[in-house]
Amino acid sequence: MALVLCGFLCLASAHADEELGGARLKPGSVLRGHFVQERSLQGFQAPLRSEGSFIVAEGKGLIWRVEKPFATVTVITPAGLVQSAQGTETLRLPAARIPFIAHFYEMLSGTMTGDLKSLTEQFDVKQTGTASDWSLELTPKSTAENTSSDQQNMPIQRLDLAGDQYVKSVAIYRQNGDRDQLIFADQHLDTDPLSAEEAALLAGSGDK
Amino acid sequence: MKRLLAVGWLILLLVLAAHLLWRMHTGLNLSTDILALLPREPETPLMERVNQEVGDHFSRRMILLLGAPDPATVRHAAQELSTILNRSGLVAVADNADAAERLKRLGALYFPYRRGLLSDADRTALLTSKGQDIATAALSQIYGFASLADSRMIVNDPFLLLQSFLTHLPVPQSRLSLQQGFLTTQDNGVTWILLNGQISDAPYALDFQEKLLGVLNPTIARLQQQSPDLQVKRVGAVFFAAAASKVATAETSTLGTLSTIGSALLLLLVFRRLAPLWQNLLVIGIGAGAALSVSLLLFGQVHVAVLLFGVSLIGIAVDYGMYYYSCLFDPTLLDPQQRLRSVFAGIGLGYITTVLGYAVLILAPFPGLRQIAIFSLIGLSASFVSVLLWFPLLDRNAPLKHGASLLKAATIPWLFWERRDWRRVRIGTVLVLLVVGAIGLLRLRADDDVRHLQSLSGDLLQQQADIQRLIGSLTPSQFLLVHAASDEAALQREESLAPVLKQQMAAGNLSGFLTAAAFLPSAQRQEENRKLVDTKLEQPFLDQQRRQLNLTAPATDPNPTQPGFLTLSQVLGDGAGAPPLPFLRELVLSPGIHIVTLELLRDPEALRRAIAGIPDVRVIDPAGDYTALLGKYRYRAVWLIGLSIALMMVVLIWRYGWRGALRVKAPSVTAIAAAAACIGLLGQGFTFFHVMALILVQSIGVDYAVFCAECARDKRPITMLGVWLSALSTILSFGLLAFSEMAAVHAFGLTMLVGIVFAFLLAPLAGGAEVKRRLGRAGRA
Repeated sequence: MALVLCGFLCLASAHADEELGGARLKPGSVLRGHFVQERSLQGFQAPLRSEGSFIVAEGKGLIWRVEKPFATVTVITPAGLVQSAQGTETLRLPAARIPFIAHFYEMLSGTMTGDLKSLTEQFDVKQTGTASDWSLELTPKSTAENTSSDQQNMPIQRLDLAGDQYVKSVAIYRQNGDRDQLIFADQHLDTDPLSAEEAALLAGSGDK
Repeated sequence: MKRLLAVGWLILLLVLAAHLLWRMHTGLNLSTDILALLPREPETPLMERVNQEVGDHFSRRMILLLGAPDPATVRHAAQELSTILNRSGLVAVADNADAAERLKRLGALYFPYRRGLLSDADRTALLTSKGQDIATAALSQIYGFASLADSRMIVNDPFLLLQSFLTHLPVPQSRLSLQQGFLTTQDNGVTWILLNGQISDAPYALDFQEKLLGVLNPTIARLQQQSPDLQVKRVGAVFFAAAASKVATAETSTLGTLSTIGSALLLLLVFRRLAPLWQNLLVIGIGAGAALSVSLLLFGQVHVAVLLFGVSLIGIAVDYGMYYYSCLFDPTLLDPQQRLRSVFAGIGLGYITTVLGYAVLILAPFPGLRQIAIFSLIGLSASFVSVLLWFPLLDRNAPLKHGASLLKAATIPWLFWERRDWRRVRIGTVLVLLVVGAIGLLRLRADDDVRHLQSLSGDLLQQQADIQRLIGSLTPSQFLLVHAASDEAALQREESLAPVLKQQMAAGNLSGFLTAAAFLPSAQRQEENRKLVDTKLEQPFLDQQRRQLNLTAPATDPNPTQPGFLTLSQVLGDGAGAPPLPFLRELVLSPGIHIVTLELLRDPEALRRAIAGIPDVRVIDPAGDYTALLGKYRYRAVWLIGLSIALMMVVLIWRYGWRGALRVKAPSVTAIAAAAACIGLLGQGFTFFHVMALILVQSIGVDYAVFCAECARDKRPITMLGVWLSALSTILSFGLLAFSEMAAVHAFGLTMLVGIVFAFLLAPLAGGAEVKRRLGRAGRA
């Protein structure tokens, strides 16, 4: 999911730039914002709600800080994924192991690749709205390459994206009825350098 | 009577020729596996079988890596290539189309037993009572960015133990991921797809290599024509073997041709007649043909190296004819019978001593060298008999008159040892050679590393390195064998091995390993894990965890774990459909017999020491084992030289008495020392193959000495001419092997070159030996 979403943040910016107008992530530029994530899970009484801030540093990676209900930081870079909770590292997946995460998706729910190109290859994109108020609906394609068994394995039933200059919301509908809803706010692009702490987070996500 | 024998011999040879033609027609069965030349230690049948199975399996593996900037191009090429290879029946290319399905099945298989399956990190946390950490980590994943976990998983496994176990499974070829049914990796804008194949025949069979490359190369060429930026890299024993046999066959033909042309020119220049040439060629042809025919009859298949060494047989086979025809220069010998009688003692004794030299090779427990010995014995015998039976009938020549200056020149080596006025030069030369020789012998050091013998193609090594970099790991070449009473016991052994192997990795002695127990903990470990999960995780933290997740569903587990334990046969697949983890079958040979693959083991001895305390486990290092064996047999071969000297001395003492025998044997023994010294001076490692050449140096060298000992003073020039011709033709054949690119063959050739030169130069020293007993009808010539 990490790769998919990472792809989406960039994808949406690209779309916004090319077709729908908006800001482009230039090399060295940093996109900051707030998010609220609600995971509505089958069999759970209430959605799992978390909120916090995120930073996308073009060419460097993503920092996803959950502030509520408790502090968790996830850093994803080309070198890998590191998650820590309350200052203690809880998960580290170096890039060398990320291919296996792909296997893992397949093992549990189906085929999914994080490759931006294969993403657009694998989804039908339906676009509505205007440049300043757009929405995209992505549904897994049924092509010769996505065989019927791949269809069943695809964990995602549908993806809805909406935005203006930036992506405002993402909704992920899974086959099993789970739904993840992400609302973004206060996004802004700047070219200020990353803070020392942020740079250290992005630098430290590879294999130890 | 003589004619009858000659005709009978002709019939026998025709039968052998017919057999050979038939075999060539049905396809010569040549083998190129260098390891087949090496001995097999008498081992327990189990070890034999394990070595065989593991060796077969991994040596039959081949890997193709296709790359291009455009993923669709690579996928198309990979699809087409694997279809064509599969259809050819020569390679079974692994199909990953249903891999997603397989992995799902594996997930479903593990799921009910999840409480017994713990990742190392989680197990360590529970053993140190840090269950809270696991709970926190699970929460941060579930709440955090882009969680892998869905509701079904969280409800049933709120600590995400199974996810942790699965993401920490060691996976071979870890840089690859499955994309649209292909194992894929991206590197510098190039998409690479891996095709894993298992070839259907031994990689060392020449005809199989030809068939495989005959399908593979044109297909790749065609695909590259369609998409010029397509790259294909390959690795596998079959490609190395094909490259090596290409070198070997090319060398056999160039060295063979050079040797034949050289010998032919030599004969034409010396005799200025065609008869000696074509008759000698006939003898060579008979020798080689009969040897090949009988070897095929005896062994079924002949090693390509045997053929290569067989080429050098020409050098000895031609000797008998040379000795015979050097008599043409003797004006006192008028007819063929007189000539044969004059050389009979020489070539007879020469034949016997050479045969003894080769016979000792039969004692060497190396299957390939035994083949070489038998091949040579048959070839030599056929040549010898042909000279005896046919030359007197074919020889229509009158004595030659143009030999005066030739004969004069031929005696120079003899004069060198006898002329009084050359005494100072003689003593000086000998002293210098003694000093240089001593230095060389002191510098001699043994090198038995089998890997140094197989000169691998540099281009293929580069491709191998590229593939290794791109996919993360390669075919392992070293293993641990776990031989326990049952699968359960074997898994337990592997569990006690894992921490030791991790220490070895930390110490830099190993870069990775793969055990079956990593995919399936032993029942004992599963039970332990369950207790840990129960007492250290669920009892203290489950309620709290469910609260944090807003999970208010009944506390009773709606999906209870299975009471039993997951077993190895379940994970291996029970025959219904493809196994979920195909590589696991490589690790489990049979119940209780598992292997642990090791990646880049640097020091097998250190590992042996480290695992000494764990029963039922041993290190298997095929290259290391062969190296140790080669060392053992190099040592043994030195004794064979002593043995063959002793055998020859029996014949020589019978003929010349003690003092004479020593005189006759001294030149060849000195030649051995000189050749060994030369190897030391050149800084080459002294290998088993050098020693094998030394055995031949002394059996061929003793021939020259015997000839010099057998001849009367007035026949010396004629004898010496024969020795010249013989030594030159031997150097033209054996000596040429020094230019081989194959390390073993080069070692052999170089030793022969130096040894024969010295044996030849020293041979006249045997001239003083006196004949004590006569040899049948022939007297001193």
